[in-house]
Amino acid sequence: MLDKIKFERFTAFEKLEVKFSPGVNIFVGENGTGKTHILKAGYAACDIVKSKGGFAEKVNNVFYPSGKKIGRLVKRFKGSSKGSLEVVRKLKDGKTISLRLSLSNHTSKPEKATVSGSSKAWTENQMEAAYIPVKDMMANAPGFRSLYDEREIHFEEIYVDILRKAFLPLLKGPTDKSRRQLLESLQEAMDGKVVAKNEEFFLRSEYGELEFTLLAEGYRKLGLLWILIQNGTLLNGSALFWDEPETNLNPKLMKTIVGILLELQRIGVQVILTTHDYVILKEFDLQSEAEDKILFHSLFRNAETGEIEHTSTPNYLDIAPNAIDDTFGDLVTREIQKGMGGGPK
Amino acid sequence: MILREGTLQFDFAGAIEAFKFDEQARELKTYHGLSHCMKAVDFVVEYSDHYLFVEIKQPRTPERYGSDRDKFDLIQDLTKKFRDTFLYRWAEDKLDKPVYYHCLVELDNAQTSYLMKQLKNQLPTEKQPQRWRRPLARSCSVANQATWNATFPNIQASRVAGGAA
Repeated sequence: MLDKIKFERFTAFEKLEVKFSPGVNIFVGENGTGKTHILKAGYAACDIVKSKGGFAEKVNNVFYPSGKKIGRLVKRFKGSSKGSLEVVRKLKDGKTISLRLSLSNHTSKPEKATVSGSSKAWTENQMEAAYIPVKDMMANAPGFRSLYDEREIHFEEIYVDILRKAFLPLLKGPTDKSRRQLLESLQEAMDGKVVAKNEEFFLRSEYGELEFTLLAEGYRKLGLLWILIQNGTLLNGSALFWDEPETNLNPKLMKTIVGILLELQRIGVQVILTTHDYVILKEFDLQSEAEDKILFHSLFRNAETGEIEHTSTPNYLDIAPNAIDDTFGDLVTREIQKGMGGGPK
Repeated sequence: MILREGTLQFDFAGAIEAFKFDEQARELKTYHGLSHCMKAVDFVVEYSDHYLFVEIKQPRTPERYGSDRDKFDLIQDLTKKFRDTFLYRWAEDKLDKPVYYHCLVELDNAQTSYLMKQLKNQLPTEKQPQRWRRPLARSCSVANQATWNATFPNIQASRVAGGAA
């Protein structure tokens, strides 16, 4: 599992170190505070074993800086500057290994960047990971993988990666009980099962098969989660990165989604997500049990330095600053003021 | 004027009078005397152009008002306290200025927003029947301490040590 991540002069961060929970990690913060960058960096480190070019190339593909010039990932600064990204993992035997990428703003290609740390141990101990991006890809699956492999198209690699994972064949052997229960609760929420035919996904229900292009986007997300659980991508020791699960999802489905994320965590999947949504935060607060390992991370800009900092807490009420609650607070204030008309302040 | 309820202290700057409405001390002229049959808000505050009723709820645990049932009971309680206080003030002949009702409930902003909507329906403050010629409360609100302070700069609520009023 991922233990921590450190940035120095990398993308939006001057200096930031975040320690992960082995269970569920929830990142909140206003736009532009680097939530997605943390997810992408963590995911790139997990998925490195699958890519020949190593950590630097994976990071470059996942972030996709302009012209694929990896040096553009160094935080912008007048003149020359160097940046780094370090990810630390804890192996099952308790051993800690790290992987570090160092580069300067002049580094043009990934192979010119320096990768140090326990590269060998890292690749020997594979860590399965899935990254669910904000934009749905399931409806656009037909032909996308081959297009991506054959042509230079302007898509971050996370978009093709998630399709690659969605098309993985089933694991051998029977599905264990905990996964079967998860699949069943997803089937209940979306009223069917997912089937793939000729690179196209369909939702199969008692009314027939509905192609994903005709399916509500929220259900496509549930369908994707169903596939990742069914084909064994999300098993004990794997990690799920999910950028804003709430997008295009009816708030009523959040209860199911959060319940499933908690269950995944209980079977040993590390969950790392970002959100702008009150309902998600509150569902984790309501549904989590004492033994669950939830950590809320709040990213914010220091008012004086303008740099991004963070706080982490296991308690929902202690999230500070809480951009989501602040927004509701502002609404409450304006509602009261409107109700009072021009009355007393 | 400073008043205290539990661990919260309020500074009603510019008030003519501010007092604990359900005063239990017989020797004081603000002694309530009907606590056995009438509910009461925590404070009544008089300003030159309006009265303010204030009720404070500080749940001991965050789960205290978690369920729909608890929230329903809380709204009933806030409503009844307002009505009984309003009636008591009518008998005192102290309804000569508009009345505002502010509740401080220490929950997150999304939940206080929900409670405010329910309270507005119950009093009611916005959808009054055609037959009414005057409102009960001019407006009502539910906010937590941080939002209260951001909304009412002239009524700052601060936390103080100790529990007794």
